Order: sequence, then structure tokens, then C-alpha cells
Amino acid sequence: MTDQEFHELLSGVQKPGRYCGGEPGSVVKEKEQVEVRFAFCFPDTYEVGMSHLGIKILYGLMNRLDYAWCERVFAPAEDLETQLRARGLPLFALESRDPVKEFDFVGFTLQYELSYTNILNMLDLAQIPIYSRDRGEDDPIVVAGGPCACNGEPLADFIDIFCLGEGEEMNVDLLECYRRCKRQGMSRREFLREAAKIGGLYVPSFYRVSYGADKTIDRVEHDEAVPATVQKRIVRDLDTMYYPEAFPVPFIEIIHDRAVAEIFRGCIRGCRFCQAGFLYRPVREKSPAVIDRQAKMLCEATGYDEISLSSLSTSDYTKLPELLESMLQWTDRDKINISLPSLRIDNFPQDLIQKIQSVRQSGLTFAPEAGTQRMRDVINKNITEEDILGSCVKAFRNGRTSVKLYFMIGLPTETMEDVEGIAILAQKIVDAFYALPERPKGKGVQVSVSVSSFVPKPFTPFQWEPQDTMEQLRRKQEYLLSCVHSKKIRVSYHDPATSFLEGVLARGDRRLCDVIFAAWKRGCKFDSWSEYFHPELWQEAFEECGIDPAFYANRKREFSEILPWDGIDYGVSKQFFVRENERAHQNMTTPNCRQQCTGCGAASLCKEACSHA
Amino acid sequence: MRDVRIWFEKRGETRYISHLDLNRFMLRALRRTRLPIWYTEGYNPHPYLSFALPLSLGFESVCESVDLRILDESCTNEQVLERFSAVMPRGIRVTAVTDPVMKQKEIAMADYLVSFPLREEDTDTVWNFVSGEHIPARKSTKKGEEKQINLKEHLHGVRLEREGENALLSLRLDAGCVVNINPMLLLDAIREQTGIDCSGASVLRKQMLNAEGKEFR
Repeated sequence: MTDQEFHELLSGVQKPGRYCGGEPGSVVKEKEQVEVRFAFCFPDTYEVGMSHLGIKILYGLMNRLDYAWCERVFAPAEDLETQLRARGLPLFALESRDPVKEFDFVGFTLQYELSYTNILNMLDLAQIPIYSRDRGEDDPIVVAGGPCACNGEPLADFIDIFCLGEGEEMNVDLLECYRRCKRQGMSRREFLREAAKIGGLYVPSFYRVSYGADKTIDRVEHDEAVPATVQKRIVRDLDTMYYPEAFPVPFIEIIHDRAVAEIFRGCIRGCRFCQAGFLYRPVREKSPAVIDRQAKMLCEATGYDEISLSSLSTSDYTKLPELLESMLQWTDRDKINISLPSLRIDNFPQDLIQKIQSVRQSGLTFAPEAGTQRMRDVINKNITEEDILGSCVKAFRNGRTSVKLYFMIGLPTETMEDVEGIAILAQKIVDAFYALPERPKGKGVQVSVSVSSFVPKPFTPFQWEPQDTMEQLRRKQEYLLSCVHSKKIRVSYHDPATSFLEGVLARGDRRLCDVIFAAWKRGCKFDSWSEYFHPELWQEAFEECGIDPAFYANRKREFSEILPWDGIDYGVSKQFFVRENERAHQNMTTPNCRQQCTGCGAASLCKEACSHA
Repeated sequence: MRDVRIWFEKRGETRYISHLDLNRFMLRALRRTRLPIWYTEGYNPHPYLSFALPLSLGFESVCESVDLRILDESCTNEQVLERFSAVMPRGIRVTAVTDPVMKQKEIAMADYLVSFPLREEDTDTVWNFVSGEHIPARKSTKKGEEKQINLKEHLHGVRLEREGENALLSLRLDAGCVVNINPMLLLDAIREQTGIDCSGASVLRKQMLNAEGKEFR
């Protein structure tokens, strides 16, 4: 594409800065001098994708290899897509503007299920055959990683290789294998066979699934050359692990525009609804000295004035005071703000944060997740009403007048009393504010309650639970609203139709591939954006394929059923999930990993891990 | 403490960065240089940065400048140039660092080079229009309304040349904080009055001048 053609393509397009590349930190190489070209495709817009930490890590990781060049591709907004199609121009990568179909690899990150139609749309825009079986020797190898890869079955017909777990070593192994095979002149199939030998790589075309009369999975057969179960890859030592020293810094405004320092992986808490906490086990921390050094280098290289400490539960990082103390030596001097998202209510380091001016406290946000103690015990979110009220009161004393709380409805064993509990708790917080003699004068309090609908996920103790139907969810939302009697409480909730679709795809199997294709063919894309979501088109797609979506979302599964993700091993054992599910149904809690090891199985992946200390 | 003026070109893909984005970009670039600069006082201190004149999204320029205040007087203009050049992306090239001569508010005019595909046979029509006494155009006012103006009053020089398939229109228009005329207004007027479509036009700002026609330095 010439500059003039590019200019014409972008004239009339909103936010052309999304597509122009050339950002500080972006990597441009000579394409004749590299052997392997990788197109990292984030299945959402530039603003969303550039906020993601994973792409920054993998971009830097692969570009460090002198024989490889990794470029970025984001889903074009509707106006650019219209232009591309009208002009017959294929989807291109940001750095070189070369067509994505010319690359060796096209890699997608599976961040959330409602991005699946975007994946198909991007493949189509790239002019790459959507179904793997239709791809030829010259087509790129399509790979996918990220959290939803733990159950990639609904995309099994479209993805050549799933990358399970952490990519810092696995991606390099994949690229090196490809380079070797390419030099030896191997065919596509031969390369895939070689790739399947690498730990963490799951090649779905070597596995065949058959179904029984009751429509559940009967068995899975596989080629001799591949293992029955594929285990995820992890990095054992986070201190010596690759971490980027710079990332491309966007020109335009994006969702999260700041430097990010990863502080640990996994989570000790074992909340039963939370997939991430289990997927990233065993818990491994980075040492404060390493984090401090990496964070400082990043801020210097990018020029960002804010750095976020990223993890699943930052207040659980064992050396938080020490880390903050080291960082403050240069953040205060350079006027850089430290952002601490993901703090728990029961060990919220309020006093620590008060002392630190550079720690920006934007809003006060807590996630009690459930309104009654019984319900919190069922989901193993081990916080009490005392913890919640106590933290809010402390915040009010410090001058805060607003608080945001996250809850879920549709949790297993939930009753209307539990739903009402959310309103009662919110009211108690309002009352606590007004009972304080030393509360901020002249201002009222604002308690925002955000209620999402629970979606049972694979690799959690709730993976066998039926999701509430859309009707049940709507009734609970209405009931909750009717229980709220104060103008100081603002309730927001999500359309149950999106939660339902998420529920179907999250625990789906290969029979959903044709459904996703049919939905995309009818024009579905950007399903997570309310302006673009068309549940009626999805309904048509399900009907066309003869699939009942409730089979995946609303059915209670037996422990004996073969699940679509049974061939994947993320460390935590099925027996552990069964035990936890049973305890949930008895309203029993489980201590966190530091209090007592409950034998989840993740330690088998890495004996040095697990914060027993 | 002293003021310096950083001169730069904004070309290639960086034409797609809006002025607001450019401001944010400069703030970060400044941090990367690690130069000791003066911060504004008040509740939300930020580096003092003042651009000479905003550039519309999509336009290129070879005459942009931004003023800032260096705290360390021993730091030379050459050193500032070096540090800035090291942290710029490929589309933005720092051409000079000088002591400011004129004040930014003295800017009164700007020269633009506009190129667009134009058929040979349409050249005369366009020339007759842009060199005429009356060039009706519509401009939005600050209140969001539209008013009719005669662009001739704001046009201080015009030349039309051809290069292959394209017309090259050189314009000197009123610019600055009092009256600012966007060259696209002229292109819109051409389309409206003659029917000739100038879409796909590229605009390059070549220099800025004060009311006497002296180059802004």
C-alpha cells in the first residue's frame, strides 16, 4: 500500500490514529532479514488491545529474536472495515502495512468469549480461510492463547494450535520449531505434528470427539503422535523471566494508558467462581528488587507518569510495603503515580496508602460479590460484613464520599433472600456514613452497586453448575431494584442475554464452531458492545445448526460427565474441584493457601512455587 | 530558568495524531528526555508546554514549534536538540532548538501546500475561482453556527501548479488566535461552487508568519 493509498483509505475514518502505527516503542524490522513473521491479532479495537499487558510482553519477547518480527493487528472499527471491503484491501499489520495473510503466524489472544466472532471476522478480512481444514501450504498458521484457551473447543475448527499457559518460553519454542521446519522444507501438516510435541501446545486437528445418545461427550480419540492430555506451560522463576523494558506507547487515548509492572501470578484465595485464580496457579511472586528495577526502566523508556502494579490480588503480595518503599524513592522524585488495583477488603492496606501521596486513589472499589454471609461462604469469598463496613467507614473518615461495590447474582444455591442481602448491605453502608460524626461535611454519600450475572466457568468448582436462565436473572434484577429504597444507592446491571451467550461459549464443545460461524455470517461481531449485540441473530444461528444453547449453559452436569476441557491440564485437579463443589453446597469455606494447603494439585507443576511461606 | 523553542516536522503517519494527542505525546517525550523542566503550579502540576498553533488532524507540517521552560540554564540548545531527537518516533523530526524570538500570539498567517488529484481540463476552472475577487465559503463560528464569508479577504497569496495527475495549490491564509482559516474551507468552496471534488487532498503547512509577513521565529 502506498502512502497515498493509505491516506485515501483513512480519509473520512474516525480516529485514524488507531491504524497508523509508528508509535514510540513500536518495532520495525527489514522483512527480508527475518525468517518468521508473526501477526499478533487482538480481537478488539486498538484502544482495548493496547491496554492489554499480554500483547506487550509477547511483542517484546518475539521481537527480541533476531530471526523473527512480531507486528500488531487490531479489529478495525466498522467504518474502516467498510472501506477495506469496498476497496478489496486485505487486513494489514500496523508496523509494515503488509497483508496479514502474508505472515507465517497469525496469533489471537482469547480474552473473553464474546470476542469469538471478531476472530472470524478478522480472518475473513485478512482473506485467510476461516476453517482450518480449508487452509493451504501458503496460509499462515493460526494460533490462539490467553485465558479462554483453557477451553478452546468452540474454536477448534478455526485454530491450528492452542497455546496453553504462559508464553514467555512456549512462544520462543514455537517460533524456533517453525524456523527449523521451514528450513527443512516441511509441509504444514508435518510442522503441526512437530509443534504438538512441544509442551503447552494443543493441536485440535489431531483429536476427534464423539458424542453419546444423551448428547454429552462419549469419547475423545487422538493420533498416536500426540498426548492424551496437554499440560499448560508455566515459567518457574519469575525473577529471571523475560519482561519487556519498553512497550509501544499509543498516540491516541486508550482505556488503560500507563506502564504496568506484573508483581505475581496465581492467587491464594480460591474463590470458587473465579477462573483466573485457578488458571494461573501455582502462586509465584517476583522479588521487590526485580519489580522495582523493571518498573523504573519501563517508566524511563516510555515516559508514562503512572505505573500500575498488576496481579489478581495485589494486597496479597507478601512484600508490598517493601516494594512501595523502594519505588517511592524514584516515583516521588519523578512525579509518577502508583496505581494499586485489585486490593482486597479484608487486608486493604489503608494506612500504608494514606502515607503514600503518590499512590493515586481514584475511586474506592470493593468486590464483596454476594450480599449474605452464607452466600459468601458458598463462593468462598472469605470476607465478613465487618470487613466491608469497617473499610468503608475508614474511607469515609478519610474524606471519601463514594464507594463502588461489585456483586453477582445467579450464584449456585442462591435464594431471593441472598439477593435482598445486597440491598441490605448497601443500605448499611449508607447508614454507617450518616452515623459518623466526623463524616465529610456538606456532601452526601454515593454507593454504586454493580451487579453482574454469574457465568460458571471451566476449571472452577462451579464448572458443573447450571447457569440461571435469562428469565431467572431478570426476575432477580427486578427484585433487587425493588429492595433498594435510598437515592444514595445506584444499581447497575448487565443484559442477561450477553451473560447467557458467554455461559454457552465458556463451557461449549466443538459443535459450537458451526454456530459461531453461522452467527458471524449473519453479521454478528463486537458482541460485547451493546450497540452491536444481536441475540436474535445468535438464536437463528443456534436453530440453523440444530443446537440448543441451554444444553451448555443451564444444564446441571454430573461429576462423571466427560467435559470438553478434560484433555487439558492446568495443574489444579478435578478431584479438588469436586471436593470444593461439595463443600460449597454445604456452605463450608476453605482456607487460603497461606493458611493451609488444601492440595489443589498446582504445586506438581513447580515444587518451588506456592506461597507456603 | 529560560524558555526554549523546539522546532519539528510532523509527517508521515504522525499526521493522524490530533493536536490533543500531540500534547499528550510531548508530555511523555519530555519525560523520556529527563530534561529538568518547569512544572505549572497548582492542583495538578504538569510540564509547561505551549504549542505555536494547532495543526488539523490529517495535515502534515515542516514548521511546528513548541515552547517550554528549562530549569537548568547551563543546558545548551544543542543538548536539548540531541535529547529530544533521541526520543522521537520516525514521523516527528526535531529540526532545531532556538531561543524564542517572536511571541506565539504574533502569528497572523500561514503558508500551506495543498495537493489533490485534478484533471487537466479542470485546472483553469479552479484557477479562475481561487484567483477571483469573490470566493464564497462557509465557516462555522465559535457558537456552532455557519456564516458566509469571502475567503478572498483572508487569502494573501495563491499559486496553482501541476505535477503529474495532481494540482499543487500554494496558499497564504490568515492564521493564529484572532482569525484562523483552515485550507479545507477553500477546497470545500471549490467543490460547492464549481462541482470539482478535491477529496484525497494532502495538506502541508510550510511556514507561519507574523502580520508583516516575516517568518515566525
